[in-house]
Amino acid sequence: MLSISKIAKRNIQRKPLRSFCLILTVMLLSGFVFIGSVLNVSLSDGAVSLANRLGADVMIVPSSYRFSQVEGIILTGKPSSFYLPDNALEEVQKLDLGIEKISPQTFLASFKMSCCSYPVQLIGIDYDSDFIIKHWLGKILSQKLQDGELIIGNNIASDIGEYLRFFGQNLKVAGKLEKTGMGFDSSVFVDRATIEKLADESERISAKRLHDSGSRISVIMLKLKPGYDSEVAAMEINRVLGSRGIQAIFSKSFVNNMSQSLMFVSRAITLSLALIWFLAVIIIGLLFALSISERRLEMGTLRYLGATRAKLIRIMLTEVLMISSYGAILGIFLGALVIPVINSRVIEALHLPFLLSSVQFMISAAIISGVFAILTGMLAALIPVLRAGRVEINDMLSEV
Amino acid sequence: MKLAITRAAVPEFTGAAVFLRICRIEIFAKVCIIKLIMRNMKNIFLKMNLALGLVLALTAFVLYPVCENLRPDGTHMNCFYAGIFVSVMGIFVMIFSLASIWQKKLAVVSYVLAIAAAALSWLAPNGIVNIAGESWKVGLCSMSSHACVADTMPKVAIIAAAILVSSFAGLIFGFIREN
Repeated sequence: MLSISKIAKRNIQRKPLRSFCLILTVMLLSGFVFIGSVLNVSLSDGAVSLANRLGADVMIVPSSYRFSQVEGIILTGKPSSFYLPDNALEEVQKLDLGIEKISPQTFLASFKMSCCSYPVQLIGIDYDSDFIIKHWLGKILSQKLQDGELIIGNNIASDIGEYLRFFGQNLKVAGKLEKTGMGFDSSVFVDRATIEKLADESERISAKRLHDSGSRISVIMLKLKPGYDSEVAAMEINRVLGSRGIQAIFSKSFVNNMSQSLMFVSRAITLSLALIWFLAVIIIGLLFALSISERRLEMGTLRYLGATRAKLIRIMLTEVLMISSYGAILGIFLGALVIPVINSRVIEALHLPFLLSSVQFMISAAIISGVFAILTGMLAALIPVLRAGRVEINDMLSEV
Repeated sequence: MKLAITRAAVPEFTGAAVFLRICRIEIFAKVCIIKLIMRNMKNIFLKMNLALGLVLALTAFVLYPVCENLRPDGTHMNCFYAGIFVSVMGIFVMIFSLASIWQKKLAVVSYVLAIAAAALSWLAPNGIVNIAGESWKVGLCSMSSHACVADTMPKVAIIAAAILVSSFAGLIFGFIREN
């Protein structure tokens, strides 16, 4: 005996091109919704990670360094070597800015030794005065970072206890940071004594001084006391020390820039998804309306043979459900393939921090995208199906 | 007179009948061809996967070879291992396709595995999926002018994308055909 599902299956097979288009539409809808939701959440997680980890109220960098270059280091970890003028730290400490904490950092780019090696950003921290990175290191390192040891970012392919070689020095991996979604994932952290040795080796190997004055400080991080404004402090530093080749950037401007870009990208993604959803509804509704108008004789025959209106509607909805379900599953599969690809490309293309969502969130997003795609298919086909159910037998058969 | 009228009438009647017969034959032939294509639609995508798998297997060392130079210490570069990995993925795609041409029930599994193999053949050399051993690692050179980056990988990306499209189309038609 022919059941509802068997009739629906036969209908799907009878019109292969129409079925193909419907499945493809639902597949693309499901895939894009999945990818779009993971992208949105990952971008906002990255922004939160950035805001939490920046820590400093003011960053002091060489005035020859543009804001976009500083962004590049923090977001992508693009290896750079740059240095403040000599005595910059002492001169900043003399200013009355309401400084609570002050800590220097040294940035040193490793060499590319062969065609298959990648330069890495080495960051030297003053472990005693540091208030940013020590907080992260404290979670993974039970004791102070020793001379000759290093902490690697999450993207560095090495494990605790192994040795990495920089500028002829073998350094032991003492810890590995968790993923931050920022440039620190591709960086390596050492203490001041180690970075001084590495910088000396770098100068010896390249036969070139890193900075004319011999300075080894790249960035000075400032934490202000409560009640002191970072923007005012940055302006004061620029006014007094600007002529010495020093510029101050207040972190809020950095985070504000990120937030604005993030909001723009997020809105663009949401609008694109809305457009794709709208197109999917139109395509599915149209294809089903055309299909039903072609099958009026078939439906009239079924009604003549005793099928009720409700049964007729159930047959057609079962057909939509089968097509939408299969398309949704394929769409989730497609999304799962695309996400690892965009993960690596997003930071580079958008200059935004990107922290890939957890596996649990991605599974939830996949399920929700699938259900959303199925419901869209059902709702889009509902109106043509209900209209077909309302037509009288005589009207259907009279068109023969 | 009667004969003249009959003879005048016969050519038109015969022409119409022949025309109708030709139309029916044409329609019947078209329906047969469409049925034949639909019956073999699943096989068409499997055969495409077989051909693309072969091309993928040959890409890294025959069609668009990776860099053949050795490192200063005499070991192979990362792209050599990437080439081996891509070739193995191509061979896997061929094996999956052959298995499902032989056993039609394996078609869905074959397509899914072909998708996974094609995706890995791009993800692993680009470092998104880390595949490495004690003294080797699947990767690419950092110099964009090297053959592996400039030549081989763009072609691998195109072939992998073609396998993905063919496999997804095969999965959809397999579902329709099965029903």
